[in-house]
Amino acid sequence: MDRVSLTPRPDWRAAVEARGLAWHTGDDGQPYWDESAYWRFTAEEIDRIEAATETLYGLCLEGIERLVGRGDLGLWGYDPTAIALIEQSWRERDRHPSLYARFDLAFDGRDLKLLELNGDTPTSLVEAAVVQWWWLEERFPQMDQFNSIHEGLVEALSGFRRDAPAGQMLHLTCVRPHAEDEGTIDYLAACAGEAGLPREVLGLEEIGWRTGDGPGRFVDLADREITALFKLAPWEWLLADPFGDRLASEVLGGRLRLIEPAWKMLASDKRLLASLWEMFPGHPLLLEATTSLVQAQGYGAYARKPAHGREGANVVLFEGGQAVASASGDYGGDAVVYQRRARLAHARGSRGEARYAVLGSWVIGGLARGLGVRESSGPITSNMAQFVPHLFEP
Amino acid sequence: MKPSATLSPGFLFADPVWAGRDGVGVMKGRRRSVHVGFSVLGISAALAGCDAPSAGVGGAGPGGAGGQPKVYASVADCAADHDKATCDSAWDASVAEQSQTAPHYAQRSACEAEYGVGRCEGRQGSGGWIFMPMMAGFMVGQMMRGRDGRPNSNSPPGAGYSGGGGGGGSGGFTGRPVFYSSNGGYRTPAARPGETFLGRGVGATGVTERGGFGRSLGFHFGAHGG
Repeated sequence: MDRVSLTPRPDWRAAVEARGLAWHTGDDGQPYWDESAYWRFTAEEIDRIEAATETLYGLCLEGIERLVGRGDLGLWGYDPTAIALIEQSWRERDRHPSLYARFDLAFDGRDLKLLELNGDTPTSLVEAAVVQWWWLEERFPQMDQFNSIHEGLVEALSGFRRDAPAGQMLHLTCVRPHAEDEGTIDYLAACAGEAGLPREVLGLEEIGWRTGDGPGRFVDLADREITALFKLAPWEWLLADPFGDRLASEVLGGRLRLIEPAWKMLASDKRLLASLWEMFPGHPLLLEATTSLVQAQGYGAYARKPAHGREGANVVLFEGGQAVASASGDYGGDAVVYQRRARLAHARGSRGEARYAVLGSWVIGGLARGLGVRESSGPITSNMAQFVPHLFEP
Repeated sequence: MKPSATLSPGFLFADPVWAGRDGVGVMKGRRRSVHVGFSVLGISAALAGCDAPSAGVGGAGPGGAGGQPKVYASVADCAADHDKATCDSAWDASVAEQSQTAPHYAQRSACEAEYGVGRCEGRQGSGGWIFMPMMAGFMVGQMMRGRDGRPNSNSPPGAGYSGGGGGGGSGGFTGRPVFYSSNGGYRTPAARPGETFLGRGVGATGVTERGGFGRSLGFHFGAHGG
């Protein structure tokens, strides 16, 4: 895996906007979509990433099976309602479909290691599935890219349509206004359309609770009942909302299904990393992880991560007991997990600056389907990290 | 994998290439989607389609998805669909409207020509008998609320009543008389500005509460899913 510089397409902004990426430039004016470089893999490396992703997904499912089966999620701070939701959705996995998840992997050319799993609300989907696909199509059509994400999404949604009652509508929602999240659910709505599902996009604040003319139920703006809802918002936030209790009772009562299902709360809880190391100590794809600071101090260099943190927020890196790097954020009061530091792929940018890369490897419908690379100038990958396209020689 | 010219749902779950894939080694060669059709052109078309049914439903009006407006023969009939107090008040308002505004005829036959034989009743007026249509039943209406949450100001005075609740849950309902018609059907009243007639089922007397999602602390510090 190496980094190759090249000159961006002169009209790259218009080009990526036409493919649905409106959020290509950060608030600081720096490109978020950065095609002044690409990461080049070998076919063997892609094979390894693909196999590792499916292996890791299997390990995570085993880890969640054990967490659910042990019946002590209360120790992790989940309340009885959240636990009931998790248990129900896990027990009835066939009825509570899961669409996607993203593993973040560290790869230094030799070792491939799991940094974390975002199983509930992964993003950078449009960038990975669509925008880099078109970039390759235009710049290097003879090359290949690990990216059948779009096909995977349409296939998974087709499966959902096939198993659902005839005419099942899929509602898709996110908080608004938010260009990135809205763009992502618009894309997923387009995938649902390709899969033949009737669909409707609405803002979270527009979801209604209707009473007085039948059983209480969630409705859209036309007062149509919502029975299947894709939500680009973390479960724990939705449950903390004023409608949270109703949401729980509708889902537990079997009148409403959410994508992702409730068990994905565990697939985005970083304490799962500690569970996995406990279950599979020494596994070559895992980094040592623990919830015990004393154990972590034995690692020498380690990262401290909030259990529910996202996009690097509140991550602190320690070496020899000293904090050497940290990211700000709003997860300060959260439970934490400690993970042994991994070496990230790194290179020099065109101005000689350090570039660290993390591989976002997508699982769609249970299969490894593609890759998106995020790059940052420091060792913590934050929400400022650039998306850089990739390719490999077939 | 085998390249394919087009991508359709049928192709997707019928194609054996995807069945039995077990990861590395099976898919050699091209590894990317055959076709990715997404563009903002597609989005705006999709959104236009989404918005259409929602247009005009943003207010609190119950009519959009409502059941068929219904004629109630009695308060008991009405109470099967609505609150009993609402029905009592609607009945009273209908009777009042009938006696105040129903057309008066000097001849029974003239009245019956409009409303049907045996469908008119006579009353002793100051200058002799007058004939007016009898009530076949009544309809229950609800006044749309304006942005300020009060009934629209263009409602005629007295058109709505607050059901004795002082603007509480039964506020904004109306009762309107329904007459027979000489052709065998009903003569139903014309809705007044802002008035929607109610029936049974979805939209009848339902209330939709919105804004209960997107408010937890998490949403205040960022909407990123990560």
